[in-house]
Amino acid sequence: MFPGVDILLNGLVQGMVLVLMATGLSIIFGMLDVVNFAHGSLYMIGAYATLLVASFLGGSLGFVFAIATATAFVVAVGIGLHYVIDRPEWILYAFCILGGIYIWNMYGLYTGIGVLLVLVAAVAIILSFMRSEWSSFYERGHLPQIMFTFGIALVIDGAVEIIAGPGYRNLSIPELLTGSVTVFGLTYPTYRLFVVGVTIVAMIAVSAFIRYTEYGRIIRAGVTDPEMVRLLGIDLDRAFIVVFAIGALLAGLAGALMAPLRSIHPHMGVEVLVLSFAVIIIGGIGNIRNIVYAGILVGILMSVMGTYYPAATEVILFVTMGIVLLTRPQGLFGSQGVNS
Amino acid sequence: MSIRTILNPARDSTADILGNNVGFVLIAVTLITLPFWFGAVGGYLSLATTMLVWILFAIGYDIELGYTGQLSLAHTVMFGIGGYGTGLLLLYVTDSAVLAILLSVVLAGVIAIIIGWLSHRTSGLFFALATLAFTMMFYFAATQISAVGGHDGLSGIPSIVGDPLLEYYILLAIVIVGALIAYHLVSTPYGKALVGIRENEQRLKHLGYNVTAYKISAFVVSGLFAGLAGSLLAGTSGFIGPEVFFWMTSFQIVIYTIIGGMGTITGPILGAGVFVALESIVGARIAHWEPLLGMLFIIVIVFFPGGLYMLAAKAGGELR
Repeated sequence: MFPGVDILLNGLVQGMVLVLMATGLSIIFGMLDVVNFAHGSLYMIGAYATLLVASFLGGSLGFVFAIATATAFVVAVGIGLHYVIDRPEWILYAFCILGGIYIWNMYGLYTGIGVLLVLVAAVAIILSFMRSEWSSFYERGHLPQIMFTFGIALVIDGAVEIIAGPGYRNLSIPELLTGSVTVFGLTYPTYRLFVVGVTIVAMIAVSAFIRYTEYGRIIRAGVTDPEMVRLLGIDLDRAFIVVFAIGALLAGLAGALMAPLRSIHPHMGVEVLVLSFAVIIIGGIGNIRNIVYAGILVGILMSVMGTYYPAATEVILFVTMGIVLLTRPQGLFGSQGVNS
Repeated sequence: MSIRTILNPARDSTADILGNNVGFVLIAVTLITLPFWFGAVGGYLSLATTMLVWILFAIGYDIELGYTGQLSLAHTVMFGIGGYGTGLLLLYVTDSAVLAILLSVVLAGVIAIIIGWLSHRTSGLFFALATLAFTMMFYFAATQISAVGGHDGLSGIPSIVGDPLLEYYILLAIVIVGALIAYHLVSTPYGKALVGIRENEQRLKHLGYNVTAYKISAFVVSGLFAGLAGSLLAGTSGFIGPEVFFWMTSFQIVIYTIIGGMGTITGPILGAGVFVALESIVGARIAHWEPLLGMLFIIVIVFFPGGLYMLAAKAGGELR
C-alpha cells in the first residue's frame, strides 16, 4: 500500500495527544488566565497511574478500567492544583504528604503516617502563627504563575521519581486492541485507531459541555465579565474548579492513552508540555478548533520529519513556532492579537 | 501581594545600605577566602570556580529578570554559545585564551542581538515561550551536529590558566569587576529606565522612551554576561555539553536569581553561589536534590518573595 498512509496515521496519533494537552492548557489559560507549567506532570501522572492499575488488573478490561481510574486520579490532582494555586500556603500540606510518602517508602507505613501527622500539625501551627494573607496566584501575573507551577512540576516529577524509580517503564497494548484493522484495503493498527477515536469523543464532549450546558455558559460568561456573573449570584469559583478539572482530565486522558505507546518515565511530561506550547502558539489561542488543526499539523509534521530526516524534527518544529510567533502572533488559524 | 511585590520586593533603607555595602563586602571576603576553608565543608576548588561562573551568569541575568522584569529563557543560548565558541576556538583555532574568550563573547553578543530583536516582537508570556523555543532549537541543533560533538559535547578543552588556584582568583577578579559594572549600570538613568519598564511599560512608552530598544539592550547586556560566563565555564572545566542549552538550565538560572532575591544584584550572587555549592555538596549525598530544590523555590516564591537577600537584610536590620 501507500507508505504515506502509515506516516500520516502515526502523525495523527501524535497529533491527538498534543490536541488533548494543548486544549487543556488553553482552556485553563483562556478561562482562568493561568499558565500551567505543571500540565506536563499531569500527563505523566496519567501514564504512571495507567501503568500501575493496568499491570495490577491485567487484561483488556483491566486496561480500559485503568484508563478511567488514571484519568479520574489526574482530575483529583488537578483540582488539588487549583486549590494550591488559589491558596499557595496550602502547598506546605502537599509537601507534608510527599514527606510522609517518602518516609513510608523508607521506614514503613506506620512511621510514614506518624511523620505525616507530625508534619501537618507543625505546618498548621506555623501557618496559624504567621496569619498573613498569601495572595492567590490567580491574581498574580503570568510570570509568577510560570515560576510557581514550574516549581510544582519539579516537585511532582521528583516525587514520582522517588516513588516509582527513575527508570523507563513499558506497558504492552492489551490483547483486544492489538492487531490491525483493514479498511478500504488499508491496514491500521487497532490501538492507534482506538486513540484517535477516544480523542475525538473526548474533544466533542468537552466542546459540547462548554457550548451547551448551564455550566459551560457560566464559564464562558465568567471569562467575558467575571464581576457581572458574580453579581448575578453565581459561584464562579466552583465553575473555575470545573475548568481546571476539565483541563486535568484531558491531560490525564492523554497520558493514559499514550502509556502503551511511549516509554514511561518521570520526566516524560516536559517534552509534551513544550510541544503543546508550540501547538498553542502555532494554532492561536481562543478557539478549540485552532488547537485541533495545529495539533494535527504538528503531529503529522513531526511524523513526516521523523521518517525522512529525524535529526531535524524538533529543530523544524521550533523554527516553525518561532516564525509563526514573529510573523503571525495570533497564530496560523487565530484571528485576534495575543499581545493586546 | 501583587505581581509588583514579587518582582520588586519593597526595599527599605536598611536593606539598601546592607545590600550595597556590608553585604557586598561580606560576600567578597567569603569568596576571597573560599579556597582556604571550602574543603572543610565538603567543597573543592573546581566547585568554587564553577560557583564563580554561575555567579557571573546570575549577575547578568538579574539585569534582565530582576531589573527589566522580562522572563527570558534564552540566556542559556548565549551561555552555551560562549562555551561552545571558546571550546571550539581553543581546540581547533587558537592557543590564546584571551582571544578565544573575546571572540566567543562577541559571538554571544551578536546572537543576543538577533534573538533579542526577534523575540521582543512579543511580550509577557509569549516572550517567555518564544525564548524557550530558541533555547530548544539550539539544544536540538547542538545534539545533532557532530562537528560540535553531538550528544557528547566538547571535551578536553585546554585550560585557560594552568594553575587552578590562580585561575580561581582571575575568575574572582572578573566576577568582582562584573558585579561593580552591574551595580553601576542599574544606578544610572539607563538602569532606572529599565526598572521603569518593569514597573509600568505603558508609562515609559508615553514618556517617550523607546521601550523595545531598552528591552533589547538589556537582553544583550545580560547576554554578554551569560556569554562570558559560558566561555569561562568551558575554559575552566574543560568540557561543554549540549545540556547547557537544555530548558532546565534556563530555569536553573531563574531559580538562582529568584531564590537569591531578584532586582538586587547581591541577591542573585548569593543565590547562585549558595545553590551551586549546595547542589554539589548536598546533592551528592542525598539522592533527590531536584524536588528539594523545587520545594525551596516554591517556599521562597510564596512566602519570601524578596529571597535570601531580603531575609539577610532583615536579619541584619534587626541586629543593629
